[in-house]
Amino acid sequence: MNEHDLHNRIQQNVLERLKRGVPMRSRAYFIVRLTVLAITSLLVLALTAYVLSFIVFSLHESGEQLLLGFGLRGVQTFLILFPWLPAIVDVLLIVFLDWLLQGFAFGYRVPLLVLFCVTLAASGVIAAVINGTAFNGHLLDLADRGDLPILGQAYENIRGSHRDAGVFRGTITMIDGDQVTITHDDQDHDADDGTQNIVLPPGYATSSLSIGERVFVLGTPTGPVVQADGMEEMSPDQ
Amino acid sequence: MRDDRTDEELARRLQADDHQALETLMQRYTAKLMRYGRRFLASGDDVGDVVQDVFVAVYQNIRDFDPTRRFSPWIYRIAHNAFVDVLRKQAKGPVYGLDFDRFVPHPIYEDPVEDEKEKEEMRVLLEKHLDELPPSSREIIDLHYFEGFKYQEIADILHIPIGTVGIRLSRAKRRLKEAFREHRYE
Repeated sequence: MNEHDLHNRIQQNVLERLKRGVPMRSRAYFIVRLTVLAITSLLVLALTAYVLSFIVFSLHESGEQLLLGFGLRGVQTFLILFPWLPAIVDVLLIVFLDWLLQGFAFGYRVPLLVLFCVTLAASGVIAAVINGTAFNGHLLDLADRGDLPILGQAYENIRGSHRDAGVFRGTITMIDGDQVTITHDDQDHDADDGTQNIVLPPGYATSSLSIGERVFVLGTPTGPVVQADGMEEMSPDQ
Repeated sequence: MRDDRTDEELARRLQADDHQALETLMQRYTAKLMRYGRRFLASGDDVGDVVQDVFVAVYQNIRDFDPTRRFSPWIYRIAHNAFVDVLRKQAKGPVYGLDFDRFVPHPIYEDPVEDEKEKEEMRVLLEKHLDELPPSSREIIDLHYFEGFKYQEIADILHIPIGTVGIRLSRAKRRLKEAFREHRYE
């Protein structure tokens, strides 16, 4: 069979297949498909932003972001206590979102690294907006009351004890020379509830402290006291 | 009788279920897609069947085509997907695996002085050393030098950034020239 005959046969076969009843998809089909893709992408973006907002909220709420100001040990402890699982989930969600966006011209026309950075930045902006509201705080309150199924444990863990890592939180009840006494009770009956004597880091200005202040401490338990490497005042909402 | 209507006009007619428009489009594209498929697959066995599937897919999806844009990159996109599927089924390994060219930005440089003489040289090289290139390189060089697509159109056919088209094309050209030199000195 020469090339011309082959081409004719291909065209005839196509027409015969169409006669047997191959449907032409309607315009509505493509609109619905595009809409589903767009809505799915937006939902994944929202979920990505929510997980990111949770990570930022948990670091702020637990005070663990203050560790970054406590030198090398503080940075190491920060990395140990960092919520890696939500962070990995978030990265996977962004990868999935980028895969979805490849279905749009603007998605495949930019390099994947750029797309990743753009979607991460967009998630960051939405996460900042979420954290500007009381959304995560409200969920934390629900979790505290035991009224938050599924996500409750994740929110409960924000205030979990990290005594083993040398992290202490509490309200100053007494200041005595280079020592302060702090008490902590977030009603979860875990290891960090109770009273703790803290020996301040050398040169720490006690004049900046006052009774009733909440503080975040990184230190080493030594007998009945904790020798602090760093101590920072926590904001009232932490 | 010669039909002077553009591909886009024919596509618009086909969207209104005019089968005659499909016949004209098939007459215009059968030889092109057969050539594209043969270069891409480097095997003529399945190409006719795949081209049939491409035309059926064109008919099924024609209402997804925007007639204000060019028709040829759209049909080549369908053909690209169909040929990639065949290669995948033939278990020849991933045609486009993890490709780091897609990750990072590359400068977009479409050579404006690439004249017809150089294009002709590349066509000759491609005909002689086709089998020495991997399918992904074969395809991109074919789309540019034989089918005459611009970088942006190739980017839309392959769903890759335009900078990646440039870097893959220059790499494929380099491989072709190396293959030519090796054969000349053998």
